[in-house]
Amino acid sequence: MLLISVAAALEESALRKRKELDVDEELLLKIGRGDSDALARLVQTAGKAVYAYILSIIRNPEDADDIYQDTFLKIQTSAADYKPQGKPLAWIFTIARNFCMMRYRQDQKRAEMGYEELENMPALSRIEKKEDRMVLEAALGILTEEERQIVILHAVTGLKHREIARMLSMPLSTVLSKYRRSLTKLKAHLEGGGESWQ
Amino acid sequence: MAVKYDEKLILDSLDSAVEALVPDITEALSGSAPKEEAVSREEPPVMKKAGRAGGKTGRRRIMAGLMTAAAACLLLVGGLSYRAAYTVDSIIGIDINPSIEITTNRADRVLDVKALNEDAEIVIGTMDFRNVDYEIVINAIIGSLVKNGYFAEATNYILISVENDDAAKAEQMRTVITEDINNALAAEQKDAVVMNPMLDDNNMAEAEEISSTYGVSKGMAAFLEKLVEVKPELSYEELAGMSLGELVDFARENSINLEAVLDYMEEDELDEEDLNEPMDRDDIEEVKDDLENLISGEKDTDKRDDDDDDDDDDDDD
Repeated sequence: MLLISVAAALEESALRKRKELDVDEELLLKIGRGDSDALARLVQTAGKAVYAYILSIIRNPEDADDIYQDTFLKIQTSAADYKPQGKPLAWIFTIARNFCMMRYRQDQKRAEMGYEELENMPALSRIEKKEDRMVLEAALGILTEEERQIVILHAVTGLKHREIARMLSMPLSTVLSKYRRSLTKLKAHLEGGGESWQ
Repeated sequence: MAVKYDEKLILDSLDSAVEALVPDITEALSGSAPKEEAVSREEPPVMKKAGRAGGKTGRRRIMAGLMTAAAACLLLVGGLSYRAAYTVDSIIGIDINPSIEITTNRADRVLDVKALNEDAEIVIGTMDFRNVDYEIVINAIIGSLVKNGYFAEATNYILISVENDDAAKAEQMRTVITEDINNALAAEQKDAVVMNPMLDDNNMAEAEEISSTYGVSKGMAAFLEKLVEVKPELSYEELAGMSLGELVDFARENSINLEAVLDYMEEDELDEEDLNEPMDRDDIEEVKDDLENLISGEKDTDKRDDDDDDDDDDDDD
């Protein structure tokens, strides 16, 4: 009993330090062969990250809901064509991004939505905790698209900046400095200073 | 009371908010599945029922089982001790640029001394520090730095960072190292401003990335991060190649309030002991004085050699 407890404690300690997103490419191959359990596992593993990415582009949770569903439906039907390249998440994000761009082309006005419109969006009422809602509204309202992507992906996926840089095809130094800048902007806005940064 | 939005709160809030928004699309996906395959499941192996142990054979089996368990316990305890001796407990970063990283075990004996850049390789040379007390190693490294021409300026800077899961131990080690460095330099009739950036869970991940990408200690990485935070247009590539002294000069030339950066780095670590530690306070005063002198337009070109002058010209371009 003692041996098991000690071993379990050691393993838990090692696991606790890292909650980084890791998508197994094998899941996509199984989905391509019609494995619905694999699709469910993919949604469970990567769903939040995919939603976060979509939301960081489209900013509107109602549109994000639709695009999120469309993305996984597309994955389901296109996984058979997926060529393993060691970057399953990048492939998924490309699909999501394409749907976002299509939505923008359909409705330009929604793309230019201002901060006030965001604040009044009914879908955000799904966020029960007021503080969480305020922070997300601020992130969607005051950050640029790249800044949103970087901060929201980092918050939700735990991915290192290097990996986010690779996924978004940006230099690491750009990701690092945009990340810092975003936090400064958010902090200033949330603590009541408005956009006091330069 | 106003909420203070630090990095952790912001990230946690974003994570929590997205979590609340993600819709459940299970039904939508199962309704449109192209085809469903029966997922084959492996049957669990059939377990043979163990026979009841009894009589002499049974007792031998029980004894053998107990001895195996005891041996396993001994192995585990021995393994754990072995593991403790070779498990990294603290990571000490020393930066002037040379950048050096020292790892120690729980007994504060050195496991490894790593040169993070070429200049550091020269400083460390062929010295073997394994299983030596870390304070002795710090002394030896300071001695080698002096021998290799560092700490030759009128004002010198050295950056020290200590990582340990036990914050109190990290703090204690930092204090001891600062004192050891001051004593070692005093013995060589040198001195330096000892700078201590704050390393915590919030910036650790980024500091690790910057450290491994640009070949500096995590402490230096945290310092560079603070500079970039104040001036986002700065590039890590540019900053990482500079010595600590050059970074301090660079901060002044770009009107970065070094006091704010230092205060920020020290703010979360300050406790009664630190506040009463005279050496660090004097060092901060010295840096403030230098800053004021530079703002007022004085530039100590006499104290730089020709190479530094050329480097300055390049920086200004």
